[in-house]
Amino acid sequence: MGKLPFLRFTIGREPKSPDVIFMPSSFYIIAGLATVFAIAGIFGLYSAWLRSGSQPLRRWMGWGLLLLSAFAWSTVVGVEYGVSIATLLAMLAALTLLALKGDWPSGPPRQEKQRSGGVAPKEALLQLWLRGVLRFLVIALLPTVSGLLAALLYFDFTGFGESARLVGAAFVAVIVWTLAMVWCSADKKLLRPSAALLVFSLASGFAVMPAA
Amino acid sequence: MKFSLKPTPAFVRDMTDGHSVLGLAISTLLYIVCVSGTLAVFYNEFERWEQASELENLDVSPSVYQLATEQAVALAKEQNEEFDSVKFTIPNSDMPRLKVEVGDLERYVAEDGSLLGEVEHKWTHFLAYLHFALSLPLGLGVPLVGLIGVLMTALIVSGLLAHPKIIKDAFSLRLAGSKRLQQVDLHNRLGVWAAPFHLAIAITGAFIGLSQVAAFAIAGVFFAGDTERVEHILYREHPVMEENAAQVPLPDFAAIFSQMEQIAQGEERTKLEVVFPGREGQAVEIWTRVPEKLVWGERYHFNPDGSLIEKEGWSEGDAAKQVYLSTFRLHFGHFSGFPVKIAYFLLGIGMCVLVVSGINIWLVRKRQRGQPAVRLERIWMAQVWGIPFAIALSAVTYLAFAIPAAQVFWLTTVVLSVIAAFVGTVAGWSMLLRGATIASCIMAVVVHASLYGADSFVRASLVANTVWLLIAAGIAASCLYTWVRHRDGAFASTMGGAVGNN
Repeated sequence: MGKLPFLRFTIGREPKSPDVIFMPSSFYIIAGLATVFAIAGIFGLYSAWLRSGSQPLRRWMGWGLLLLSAFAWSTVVGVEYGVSIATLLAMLAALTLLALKGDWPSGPPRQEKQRSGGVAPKEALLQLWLRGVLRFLVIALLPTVSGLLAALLYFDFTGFGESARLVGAAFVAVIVWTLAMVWCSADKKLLRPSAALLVFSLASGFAVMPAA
Repeated sequence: MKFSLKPTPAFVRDMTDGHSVLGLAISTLLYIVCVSGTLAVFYNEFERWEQASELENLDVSPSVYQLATEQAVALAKEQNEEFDSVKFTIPNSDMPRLKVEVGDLERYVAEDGSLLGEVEHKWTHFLAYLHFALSLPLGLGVPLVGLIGVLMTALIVSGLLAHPKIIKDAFSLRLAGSKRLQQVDLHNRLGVWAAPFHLAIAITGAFIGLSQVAAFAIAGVFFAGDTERVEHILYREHPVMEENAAQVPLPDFAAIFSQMEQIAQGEERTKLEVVFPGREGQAVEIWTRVPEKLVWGERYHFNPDGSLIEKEGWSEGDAAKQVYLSTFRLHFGHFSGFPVKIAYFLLGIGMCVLVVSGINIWLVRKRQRGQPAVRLERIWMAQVWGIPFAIALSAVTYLAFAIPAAQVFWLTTVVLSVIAAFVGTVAGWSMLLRGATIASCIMAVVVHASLYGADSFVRASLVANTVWLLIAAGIAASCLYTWVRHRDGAFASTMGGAVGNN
């Protein structure tokens, strides 16, 4: 398969290439079918989840059509582009369906109810702010150290080739960093993730120290 | 004991609280990154838009490179510019202009190989730099934006975990409900259905921004601080020129391109670099785009006589290199041409709405609890519409008066935020800045058309100007919708009053 259908505008004052690259008709047929599969798949999920009770047939048909769309795209533009395009299409189809089926307001804006009073005392507010700042500092610092140390551990102790260890280490850093952030931000007992990440960081630091 | 994967209410509450903490901590910076990134999808088109009348030609003969290299080297010597290579942008579908770069000098090249005017993409570079470094020095800005990428990934993960009725509510969009319900439904539906896009953008963004930090850490611990050693795990080493290397004729470009025809058929050439041009030890590198692959490209190394030294192999073989080099196109939306760019642009707008609705939920919740953050509400509204306004205004002032775009953007954003802290209402700021953004977008097109005439409405300029006009039209539609609803509200209250009086 050649190039994708770039929507190319006239090049230069004397165009030396076509404005639009035309693809073989089979491309348009398969791509069109793949698009229809994506839309039908989303519609299948919509009809399954909107009805009461379990709708396994509709649900599996919906997921199946989405997979079929990815497969069909992959046959004409390759697996990497195909999966990406099919996913983009499914997302856009779902959001378009939501916009079309959405319960849009038509009348005047509603008057919102508001509770009166409820102003917290200044000391309580200050305490809340201090807790917030402390939590943010923990979220910013400990996951950073843990993520980077996890990357060093991965690079040091896995037996893959150098490039796989390097790229893998960068991904491990991002994943550990993210999960540690989620934990630190969500755990009411801030001491728990702090202590765990501190222990992990210290242990990892000692583990990679001989290499340094 | 019964095991259940269903999250407990306490878990959901903790996740929601954590989600709020993370979102509030980075709201404005995340929003700037999202808005600038959404526009930067059309990076190539905006670069061409800035100099709309430059020559575009995909068909360049090898002899042109020969002459242009001689001229570029002569220009660098004349201007005392230090250089060790001459780099060309080979005209391609993204950038169909032949450009040459030597040291800090960058010029367009005519069809006969002579050098034309300077390449000026300052506004587009401002936009991209704002996106990946927030206009800060590179060493600080790129890791900071990478950190925002990690926080964004954490926000997506905690957001999904805080959503126990993810399937039941999958198609529920109750915009006619209370303000809080509107914002919650908008936030959750956008967040869930566009989650694959958000995750791809956040993870690749974090990876691109923080891979340098990880590489520094690995270099520091395992290679005695030698960062080049780490870099060469992924990239081939450049040749090193000996001191006082003898002068030799320039490479045989015709032979190199002829060799490329044989070994890289179907791959679009994008860049050519002559290392140490005209000196003993010179070499040529050609970059290509590989069809059906997400990798940034492939690189071929040649001797000056046109014989191939090595194909670097980014598009085949080593899976780790392929993964690393695929993150860029996946993040930028630069694959499969224009349709994917449109999809990225639309989903990017969705991501901006996601950020705004997230903060709105928190503000509405505070208001409902009887603790309205009135000043914060005004500041946030001034930023929500002020940031797109500042970007559009920076384009107008740059085109019309060549005022540095970064200064206009940051000054406008900060001044608006400060004024909004003290005066106005949320609705007033919203309408005022929506109007200002519409006017700025239209002005960007008007100023561009007055500078470039008919060239404003062909090729990439047509795309860029259409983007400005579509943004203006979208915001105008939202203003109209708000106005109609308020008019109906005023009408209803008048009628209610009249009925009451009777």
